Amino acid sequence: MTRIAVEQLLYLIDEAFQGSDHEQDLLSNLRHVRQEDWLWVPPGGARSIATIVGHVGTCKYAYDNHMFGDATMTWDDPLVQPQDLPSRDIAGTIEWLRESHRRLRSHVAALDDGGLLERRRRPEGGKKETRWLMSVLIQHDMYHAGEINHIRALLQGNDAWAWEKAT
Amino acid sequence: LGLGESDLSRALVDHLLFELDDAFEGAGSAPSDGQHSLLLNLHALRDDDLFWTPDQGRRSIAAILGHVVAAKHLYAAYGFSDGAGLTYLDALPKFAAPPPSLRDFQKALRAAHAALRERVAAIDDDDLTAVRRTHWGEARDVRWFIVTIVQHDVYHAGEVNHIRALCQGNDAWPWERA
Repeated sequence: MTRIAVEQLLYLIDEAFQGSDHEQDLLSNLRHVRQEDWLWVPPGGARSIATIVGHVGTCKYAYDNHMFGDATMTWDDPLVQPQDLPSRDIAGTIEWLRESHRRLRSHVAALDDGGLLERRRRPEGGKKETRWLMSVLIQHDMYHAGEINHIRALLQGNDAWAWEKAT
Repeated sequence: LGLGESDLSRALVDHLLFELDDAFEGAGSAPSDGQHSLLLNLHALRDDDLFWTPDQGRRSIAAILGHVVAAKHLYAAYGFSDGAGLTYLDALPKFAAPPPSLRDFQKALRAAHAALRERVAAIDDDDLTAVRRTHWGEARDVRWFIVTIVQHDVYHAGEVNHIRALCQGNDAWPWERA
């Protein structure tokens, strides 16, 4: 069985989490987050960057457990505590996030192309093909990277297009 | 991923087409849940939300959507041909009767997406490694142009959602709102 489709999926997974151009991916959008930004909530808002990162990592751990493990992890598992109880420790939370990504990625990397068509469990219940579940998780990284960027830019006062900031 | 469903010479392109459509509108023959797609994140918008900016914010939802339209046109032009000198300003949407409505933006987005999609659908897997010049002059392979637009739609969908939520006062996780 071939792996060309798996390799392309890994490329998409990597570009969403830690992309080569350092613009839209999740980790690049955390690079300029300062300690004072981490737990800040904008006026009229309800979510901080810390809670969003906690949510993204939680989904990676939970999806990995349901797709490739014993499917016993619940949303109140101690491992996914950063979603509801965000820590002030940015570096520690990002390392926790990286570990969630490593686990998930390693399981995808072990598949061949046929494995992408297998239906797997998901935390919300039911089963979906592996390729579609991974599509959700790829989009999840980028979507929340956009939200993180907007929160960070509001507090840092630099919510403008890159070329406007350069002039 | 086109596995067992399409010509093997187009399996990767078919996968990218799925990702492109899914990021744009959660569409496709077997879509993912679509909740992060760009168009889905416009459903809860009111026309009045389009030009609102939060405290310390400079970019409105209208500015972001115009930017997304321009990017799709630019990537269609430069990712698959020499670009014919198209500039960012050229590629921004032009509206007959400003200020544009949400419907106007949706129409411009759909037209730009269709133009890009048509370019992608016309290639096969071997073309993905061909090298083209971006509109700022750097060399990238064709696959990069496609994947960047997939990311771009969803990234800005997240920004749109955050601005909308601040404007409408409902920036909480769905399970908290419930």
